[in-house]
Amino acid sequence: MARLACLLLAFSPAVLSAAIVAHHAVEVPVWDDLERATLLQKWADGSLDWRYVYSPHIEHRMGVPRLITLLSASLGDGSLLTEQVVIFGIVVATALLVHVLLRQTFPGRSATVYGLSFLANVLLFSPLQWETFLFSIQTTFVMPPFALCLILAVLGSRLGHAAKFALCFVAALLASNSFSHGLALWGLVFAAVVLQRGFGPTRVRVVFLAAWLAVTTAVLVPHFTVDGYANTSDFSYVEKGERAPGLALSSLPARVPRALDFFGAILGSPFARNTVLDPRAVAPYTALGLLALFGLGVAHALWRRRDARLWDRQLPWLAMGGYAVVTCAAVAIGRSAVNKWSYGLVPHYLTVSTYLLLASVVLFGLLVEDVGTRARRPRLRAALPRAAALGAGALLAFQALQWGIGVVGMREWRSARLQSRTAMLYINHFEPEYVRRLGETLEAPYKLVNRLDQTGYLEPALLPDTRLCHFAIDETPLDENDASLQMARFSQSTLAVRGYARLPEDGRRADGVLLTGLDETGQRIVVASLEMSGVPFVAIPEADHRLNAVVLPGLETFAPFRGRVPAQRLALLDTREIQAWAVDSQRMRVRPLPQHVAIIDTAAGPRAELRFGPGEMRSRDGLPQPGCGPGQARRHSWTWTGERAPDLAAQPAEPVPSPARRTHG
Amino acid sequence: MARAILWLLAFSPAAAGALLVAQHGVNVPVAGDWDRAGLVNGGLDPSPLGERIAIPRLVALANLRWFGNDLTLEMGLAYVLVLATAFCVYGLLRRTLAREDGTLYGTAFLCNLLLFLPMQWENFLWAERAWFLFPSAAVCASLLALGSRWLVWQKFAACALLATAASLTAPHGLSLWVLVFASGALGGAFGSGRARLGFLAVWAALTAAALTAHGLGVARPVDLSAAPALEQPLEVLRFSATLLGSPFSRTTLVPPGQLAPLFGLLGMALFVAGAAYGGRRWCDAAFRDRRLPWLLLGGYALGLSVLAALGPDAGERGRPLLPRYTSISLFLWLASLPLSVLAVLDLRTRVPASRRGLRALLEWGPAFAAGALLVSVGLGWLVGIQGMGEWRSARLQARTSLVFLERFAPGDLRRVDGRPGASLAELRRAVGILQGGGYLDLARADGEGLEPFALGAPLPAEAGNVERVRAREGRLDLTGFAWLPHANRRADGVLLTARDASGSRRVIALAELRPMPLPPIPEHDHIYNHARTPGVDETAAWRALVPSDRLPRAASVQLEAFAVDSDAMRLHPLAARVVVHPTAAGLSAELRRPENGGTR
Repeated sequence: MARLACLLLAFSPAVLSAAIVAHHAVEVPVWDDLERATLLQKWADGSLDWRYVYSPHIEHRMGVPRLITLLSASLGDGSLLTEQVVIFGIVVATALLVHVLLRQTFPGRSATVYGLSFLANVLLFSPLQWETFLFSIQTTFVMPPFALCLILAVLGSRLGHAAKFALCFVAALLASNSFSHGLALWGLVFAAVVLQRGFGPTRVRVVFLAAWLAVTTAVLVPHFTVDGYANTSDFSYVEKGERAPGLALSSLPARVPRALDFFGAILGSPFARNTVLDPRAVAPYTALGLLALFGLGVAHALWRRRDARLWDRQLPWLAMGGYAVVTCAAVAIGRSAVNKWSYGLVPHYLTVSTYLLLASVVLFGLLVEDVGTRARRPRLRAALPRAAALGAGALLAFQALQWGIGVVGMREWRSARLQSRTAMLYINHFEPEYVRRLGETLEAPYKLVNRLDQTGYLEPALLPDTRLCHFAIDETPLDENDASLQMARFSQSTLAVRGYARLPEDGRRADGVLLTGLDETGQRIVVASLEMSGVPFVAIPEADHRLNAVVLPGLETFAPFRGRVPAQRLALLDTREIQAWAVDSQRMRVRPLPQHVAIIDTAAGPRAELRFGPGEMRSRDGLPQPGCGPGQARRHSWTWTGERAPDLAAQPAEPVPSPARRTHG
Repeated sequence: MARAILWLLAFSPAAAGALLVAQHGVNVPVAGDWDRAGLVNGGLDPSPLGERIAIPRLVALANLRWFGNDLTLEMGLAYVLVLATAFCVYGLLRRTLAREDGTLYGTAFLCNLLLFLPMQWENFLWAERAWFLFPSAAVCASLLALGSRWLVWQKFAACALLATAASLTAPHGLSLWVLVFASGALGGAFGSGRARLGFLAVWAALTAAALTAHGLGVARPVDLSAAPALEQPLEVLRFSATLLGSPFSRTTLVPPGQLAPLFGLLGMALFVAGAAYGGRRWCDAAFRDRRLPWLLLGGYALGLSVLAALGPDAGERGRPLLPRYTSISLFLWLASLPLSVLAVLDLRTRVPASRRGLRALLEWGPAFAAGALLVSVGLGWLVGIQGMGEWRSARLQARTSLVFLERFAPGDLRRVDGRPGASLAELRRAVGILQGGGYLDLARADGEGLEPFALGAPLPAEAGNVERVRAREGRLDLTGFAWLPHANRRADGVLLTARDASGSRRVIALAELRPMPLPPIPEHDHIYNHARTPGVDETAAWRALVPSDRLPRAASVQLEAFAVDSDAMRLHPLAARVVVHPTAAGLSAELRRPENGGTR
């Protein structure tokens, strides 16, 4: 019972993180997520073959994540949320393996094991890794660390050598067929078996290593040669059909400083965010600190290498830290060729650098334990554990701040995804303004969003026309404290507007603003879909600036929108009033802003005037419109055999409440 | 040698504090500093708030007389007061912990981190507010004296002097009369009961006399019956907790008003737990004497927070979060430190060896808590340093406005004057009086030229520029941004000039900066979000409205903009310039950037 309570306490960060992730997860594809459109279409067409499944996405052979996507589509409804659950599940499995490793490292020391497990889980489940937890493609990213921990736990276990070989092989295969980071595991297993003192008789070790070399060759040779290692992804640094960029070693001599800065950025990222200083200024120093801490652990291990038992306890963590350093170095070398050095601070790289921090902490704990038992000076014996406790307290307090920053990061991610959902709904009618929420350029997202929609896996489906009635319309205007149309002006026949909009129920910025008017049939049609780009929310206390006369940021800073309506769009309208609507793309609902724009024709040209109150919002005849209304059913669904269900697009589009339609909170 | 090094380490926050005050202090009056104009004229009007502030006034007079009203000296005095407090706290710690090892120096280090917390910038960098720190120094000195081996009359004299001075410095100095009485009643260092009774009797009489004299003739005495929060105990608790938790509440992630009460309640709970520990051993004089100073210090902070909650301004939004109150709230946390250490040290001797878990917790728990506190206070230092930077920027901008006060009215009087209800006329009068007496470190712009500034190097376009110009309704509306890269801060204003018929530059407008104090928003965290990461165009934004009658009469007028560095008294040209053409229909304006072919 006590053990169960300790385990629950140690894993309480996982429970908290699950709640936070669940709250912020949304089913909106972003960037590489859109690649599934091609995969699902090939599967539907029957043209999917092992070549495509095995083909590189940039330079990553992602067979395993692709299979997960297909499994999700065949057994379920192919929701992106399913893969986000899988990601979290893999991290939970990784955390359990870390717990097993800790038990192997500190046998009989329950308090140490549970304490370090708690600390490890605070790091592993930190919301600071929002780009991992909320980005469905990252089933790729979390697999190598899982495989790493599985390999280390297996090698430290009492399993037979054949079982160890098999499990290590499966783990390395899973990892290297998920993401390129997994390639390092083939070398890691080899090194671990060479260095592990208690592996077994020399003969067994030699056989194991020989067999491992053989399978490594059998796996890695095809990895780099099949189909010319050519990229097949639309989201890549190279074109489709071009060889994967890899480490770009040929250009490395010219960019060594940038590569080093990039390396420092990745390593320093876990400690760089602090709400006051620019992380780019902090990261190089925290990187040095972390490397120094790991170096201390390595130096201690080398100093005490003759103690076989201690060595075998340190080895998994040396391997973990080494894996993180090597992987971060490889990323820095390869990606500094295409990105600036501060790209190393992107949150998803924390999923790698966190393991260096974790390994360093455990190695330091082993150092404290070892020196503490051997030191002759009583003061040193007493001081070391206290130093460790001081460090643990500082680390946990700092992580509390990181969790807060992570929650804010999740909130911004979610807001951006919901805004891009609004933009995607109208992708065939209005060009998205902030294309980089979907991809590098519009070309690939436009193609793939439509492909995903055609296969029936885009939720909600793309809107067939620009009628507003595809959203549920709540006619109650928003309060001026939440939303306002602040400026409307004509500039050479183009109407420019500006304002701000927040959804009061959720306290978040709106997921976009739609401008509508009535067409000749009396229907409200959308003439512009405006996206919002606000400053991420920060709380600035007014009390700190009473005598400074500063401008405190408000909704104009956090939730602004601006846009233009060209003359040809305005020409579609039959009325001279434009209404603005704040979009809630999660509930598929719109609410009007408190002002509307009246277009007044003058001799000098049209003039825009802001007027308080709703404009001519109601449809003239007031009747429900055919093929309109919220909650369009998914148009296609797929069975396990790949048969396509009847194409609903060919049928009269009536709002059909379907049990197949997934609703999201 | 080792002890000296440990001592230096323990007082390293004091060194850091000194550097920060020296770096950020500027000799520019704000708010109550302008009341010195009344002192110059010989007026000794009572404080409008009913406060007796004779000592600050005497010091101000001395500063006027002998040092030309150099306000940075009084900022230095504020630092000295905190340093004195730190020495007294160290003395109390030595007496309390009765040991000179890592525990003493570690606790002293943490106490100094709190005492020199830059979040008290309003008290460090504002001459009028410097005296806010005196009562706390007096409290610590009194507690040190009362626990010493001095004779009773020596203790009495020292405490009387400190209490009188504190009462004549700031309203919360009156609390010293109560604290000394409590310490005298409960403390053990008085020898015989007769000596204690004598001390207390005379002290009570002196207290009555002092408070009576204090209350006489005050223009507007504080009226507790008008306190809005008196009938709402929960409101009092919320205000008090917010005030006490304020030092740890600024994270930018959550509004401080939501976070501070939680920290405040935590601080209260820690203090009460530390105070309640060993309650049954209260009769043990030695045990009681070691804890008493900290109980009184913590009670001092708690009591003042409650009194502030009952004050007439308690209903003002955001009041408990004012940075100046950090100088009060930090004493709750500071007092909790040695109380916790004493409790742990005591428990270690009393917990049996068989309770291994509890012994391990007592062994390592304090270090763990110290680590967490170090990080929390460390973040508070970062926030405080940022606050100091914003304060300094505002004062330098105020200086620019003062230079041109006779020609251009400040857009926001709060920054330049800051007194409630002050008018431009009153400010001009105060400036005239102080400058006339040589008590204002300010070179005035008497002519229409760029004097008293010198010309500096042009700013690069990404640091300072005119972004937009519009002509409408008979005036020009210009916006831009201005950052001083060499000083790593926003400009202290922007001057707009036009060339007159003789070709000389004539200042036609002073644009103030109305910046948005946003922290750095890391763009790498929002690569997939397209969030807006504010740049200098928001954190160093300026705007100028120039009526057409200020422009020289010419067919074409070229306007130039200069970023002001009022610390170095230098002007740095901005990249773009504006060409204005008066027409029959009004003004038309054109923005010329160097890359558009505009010349520099």
